[in-house]
Amino acid sequence: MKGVLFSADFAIDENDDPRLLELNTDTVIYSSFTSSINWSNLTDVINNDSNIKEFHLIYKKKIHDREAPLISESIASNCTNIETYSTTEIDIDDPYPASPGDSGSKFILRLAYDESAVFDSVYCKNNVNTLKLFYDNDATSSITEFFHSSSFAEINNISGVVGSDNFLPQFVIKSTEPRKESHKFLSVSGSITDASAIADLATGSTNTSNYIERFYYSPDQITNNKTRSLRSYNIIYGDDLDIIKLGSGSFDAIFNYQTSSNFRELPDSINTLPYKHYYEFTNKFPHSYTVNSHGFLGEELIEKPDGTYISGSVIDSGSDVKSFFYSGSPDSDDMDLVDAWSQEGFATPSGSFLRSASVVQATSASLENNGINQIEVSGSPDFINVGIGTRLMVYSTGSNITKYVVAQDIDPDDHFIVNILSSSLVPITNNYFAMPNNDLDLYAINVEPDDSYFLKVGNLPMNFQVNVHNFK
Amino acid sequence: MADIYKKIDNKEYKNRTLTEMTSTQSDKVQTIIQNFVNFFKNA
Repeated sequence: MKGVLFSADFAIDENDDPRLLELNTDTVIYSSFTSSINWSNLTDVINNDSNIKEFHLIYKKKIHDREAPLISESIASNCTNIETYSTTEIDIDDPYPASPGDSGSKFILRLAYDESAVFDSVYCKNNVNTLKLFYDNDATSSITEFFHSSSFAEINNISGVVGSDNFLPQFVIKSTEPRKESHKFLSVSGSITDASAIADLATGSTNTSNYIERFYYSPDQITNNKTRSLRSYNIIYGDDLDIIKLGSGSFDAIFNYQTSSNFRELPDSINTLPYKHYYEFTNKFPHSYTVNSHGFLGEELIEKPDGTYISGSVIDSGSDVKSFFYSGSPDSDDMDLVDAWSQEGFATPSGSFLRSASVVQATSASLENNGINQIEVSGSPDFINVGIGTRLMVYSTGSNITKYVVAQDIDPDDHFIVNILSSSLVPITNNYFAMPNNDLDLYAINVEPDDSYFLKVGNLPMNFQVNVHNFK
Repeated sequence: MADIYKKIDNKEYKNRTLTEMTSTQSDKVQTIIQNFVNFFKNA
């Protein structure tokens, strides 16, 4: 028996009713949901079939590192009939996960996206297919009003009736292909009130590779100017496609929306709102494993072998930088190996030494959704701005180990930056920043033979690990 | 220093509080999911 875990995201309309936005496999169970997930609904299904003796989990470590052990513990604690528990770990970029042969004695739970599965490749990959399914079945009150026009489908469900809040968008344009381009949030001029005119403006803003949907919000669900949405986690399984409900809840956007600039007073009939508002209008979570999350802002300074510095925005391939051979750390560009490595304590091992390295690749990419982490040295004005997926060497006081951790996961209550030149610890704070500009780039370099180099943080050199895979 | 639009403690945004759905909302959500499955099976 096979099953797949998926999430379903919903907007809340003005009547407090949910409207389906999208379905996703490869989904992350947010930390705030973890304690409310009812894994016993899964184990009950397994226990109710005495033929099932084996459980197999297909997952991606970088996405499901929190879910996999929870599932393992739940199966071990509650399913006494399970004699064999096994896993298949899938590379994050692998769209065709290997799967063991199915039989009546197995329950195979897949968390990873599978391009060969219709549910994933048709309905999770392209939201228009999901919305169209409801549209074709006259269930439009369960989905957003939307418009899409291409050789695939011609659907216009946009009424032109919109919300009246001057500081929230009225429409959102989304790509039909996942991660092809960021959402665009739109606002119609306040001088245009006719619904059919508003609908025409909205539908005229699309092309064949995207779709537009009404932006929903419920005034009753807004607290401190933060919008709210719903998420539900379920497993679909078996020949009859039965549903196991795992958990659901509502949660706020990261940022409260601004109330100083009236979007209805913008100059054009329909206006695209700046990307800086992205995490005011969505409840999405910035992911540290995406391509554009690695690197640093161009203003950051990289130390050269002679002790001078060069701006990250101008360094190029063939340049030399100061680097460090850290004895015992993996000499590898495989991020799985880098992430798996750690050492006890924080003292720099004997046999380590400073040397120079050559920049073999220098790249830049648009800053995804305008978000970065700023790591600040506590009690000082010194800081660096890095992409949320950038790996820094830190020491964990809780586990007494030194390792590389992505900026998004650095916890100042547990982690210290390691000054490897003096074997000392640097207390830090860690903030997430939305940047105001759409045109900022993240820069990244790949250096060899050592994979680490120094960024200048005030007067302090910080050791810094490059994620080479972000260049692919 | 690059301009900053908004700032939030990293831990605060990572640990956003989950609010229970109302039972009515939860029922409606599950109905929509079940409807999807029914439509999917017939597609």
